[in-house]
Amino acid sequence: MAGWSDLSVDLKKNVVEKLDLMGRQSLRCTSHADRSIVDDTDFHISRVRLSISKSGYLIVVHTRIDDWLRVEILNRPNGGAIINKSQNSWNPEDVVTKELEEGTPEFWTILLLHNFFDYGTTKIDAVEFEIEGGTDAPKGVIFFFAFSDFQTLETEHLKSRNLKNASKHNKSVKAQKVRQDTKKAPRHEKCKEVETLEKTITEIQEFIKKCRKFRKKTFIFRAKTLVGNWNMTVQMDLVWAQLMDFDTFKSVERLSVSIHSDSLKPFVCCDTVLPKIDVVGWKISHVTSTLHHTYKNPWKEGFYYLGVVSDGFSKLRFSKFDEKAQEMWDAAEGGMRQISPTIIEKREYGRCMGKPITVIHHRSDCGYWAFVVPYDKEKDFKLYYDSFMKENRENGTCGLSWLCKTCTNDFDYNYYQNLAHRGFLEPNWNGVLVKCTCSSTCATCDSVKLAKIEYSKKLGNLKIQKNENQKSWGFGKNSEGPEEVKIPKNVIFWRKIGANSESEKSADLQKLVNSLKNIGI
Amino acid sequence: MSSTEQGTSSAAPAEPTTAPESAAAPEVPESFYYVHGKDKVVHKVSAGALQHSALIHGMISNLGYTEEQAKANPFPFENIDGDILQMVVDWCNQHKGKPTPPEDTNLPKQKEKLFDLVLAVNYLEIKELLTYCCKQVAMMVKGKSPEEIREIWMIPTDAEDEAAEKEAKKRAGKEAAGETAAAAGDAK
Repeated sequence: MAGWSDLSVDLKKNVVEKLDLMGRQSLRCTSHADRSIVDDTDFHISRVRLSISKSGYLIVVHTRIDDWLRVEILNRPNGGAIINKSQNSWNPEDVVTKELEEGTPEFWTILLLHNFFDYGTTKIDAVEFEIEGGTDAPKGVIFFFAFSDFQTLETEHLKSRNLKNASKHNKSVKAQKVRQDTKKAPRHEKCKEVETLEKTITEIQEFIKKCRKFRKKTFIFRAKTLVGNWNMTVQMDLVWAQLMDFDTFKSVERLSVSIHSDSLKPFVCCDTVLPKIDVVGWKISHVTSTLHHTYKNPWKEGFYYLGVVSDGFSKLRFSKFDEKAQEMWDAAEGGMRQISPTIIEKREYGRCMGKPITVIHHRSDCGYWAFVVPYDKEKDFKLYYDSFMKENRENGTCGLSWLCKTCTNDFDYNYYQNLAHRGFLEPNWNGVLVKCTCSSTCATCDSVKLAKIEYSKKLGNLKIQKNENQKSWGFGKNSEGPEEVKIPKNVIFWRKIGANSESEKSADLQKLVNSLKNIGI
Repeated sequence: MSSTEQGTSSAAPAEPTTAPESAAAPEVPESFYYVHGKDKVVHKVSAGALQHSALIHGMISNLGYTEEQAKANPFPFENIDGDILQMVVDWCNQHKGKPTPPEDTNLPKQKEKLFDLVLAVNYLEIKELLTYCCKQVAMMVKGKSPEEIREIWMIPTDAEDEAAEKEAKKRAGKEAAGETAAAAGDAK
């Protein structure tokens, strides 16, 4: 009768390749021989999220669409830490809680990070960092959203298609107004912002220092992409980058999700692209993306505005070729030309805020995307454009990136499509959501707030397990197909706050409302 | 299904009771080969089914046996238990000329047999079946704690390993001392 110890190292590795994250962790703890086998076997992780807040830390590890592990390490009132762990479920009732009298939440977080990821064989697609503090982006958002008449400015300038004639429009009154308003910010507020920023950077630096010196080992994530959220700055990205392995590190992505009761799926995404920024001597691409879940936000204005004010160019991606996309595509006046077997292009020239710009529209079977390129950034854009076209010709990929179901991997598509759910599923850890700039009566915000209360209530009701009753670690539940996000009951508020007429609601929201009606809510 | 019959020796295998039949009769008569395990039970398997095994496939292509020669010289796999070889032969027949499905639910669930099957399949170089078997082995410990894994897979702890190593060294030392004493006695 043969057993595990009769298998050769290669056979053992073959088995270990098929284990999930927690299976690997458990096997590592059985013996020294098995530990080295696990550490030598390749493992792929789709996404890791590390959130830091005043209350504690959160580590979420997504291995596949339907497999994830969530570990919350919170401050314990009398010292020590409380660890909440759940697998493949967002329901707080499925959380297993454990109290640790020794060690700080920071210590346990660093220990887990080391145990989970610190091997050359563990490859991660993206590592997402969230931290409280940072830049006060909502103010920036308020400032930006305040210019609802920005559209007039854009259309006015785009009327002049010819760059030579466009110089007449150099001095835009509204553009001047924008500049004046930026200067108007009170001085004391600016100082406070700088203080918060510096404090956050110091916090990150200290955390990283501890990570790197933990048990005298240097810790790094072997990941392709570093993902931050709206409250981060390039400076913070550089600090976080110290945790990355520069052999695998390729890009930085900064995410903001603007939720709205119109839809739980994104309608449009507005990006600012810096093709190559210098990160400690390495050239890394940097993309800032804002996902809009409504067309009521000034997304179009943002697209032109960001294209002009950023250090690179802006990109607009529609998740579906719907009425709005059709409208914008039809309004583009440049002549159509086929630039690849799959892409049709329209180019138009104009001015925005006094700067000459080129607007490039791309349409393919996958959908529609567009670029705003300032005249002085055309060289940078050309490099980006050439590499994009090369990829398109070789692999047929479109420019929609993770908004396209066909051209991106299943995990990324699913993850970004469901980002808005975080407001309700993880109300305590939703730093990626842009703080709402609405009035005090905004029902979207009320809904998120109520979800938070409900979540905390459910967590509070949990009985802390004693060590002897501790459930085993690992992805115990069997996977049942692709992720189906369960919305907590608090989302009934979507019905109250929903769009004015049935036709305005997205199919997704409609389905949700119907299912809630069916269960009698 | 493959046919089996108790054989007395590998050199003179008994006639199998039934021959495997495919649904549609092929135009060219299919050649058959014979294999037996530790228990000397001879299994008649078609060349098509044996293509799954890189080891046997390589042996067949090198030997160029006729039907009679193949019958007279079944491939001996003395390191594989009869019931395990039967399982492998059944799987090969079941998946003869078919694309292999992503999951195989017919694999044994008992850990003892599963590990034996893994070793046999690895020896016979049946890649697809090895993948299924390894997956099945991995599933045995899904969601289990280190202690549970140790119990299921019978993994000794480091302390037990060390103790066993010490014991073995002690025994080897004693045996060596005994041998030298005996040699000295003989010399006297």
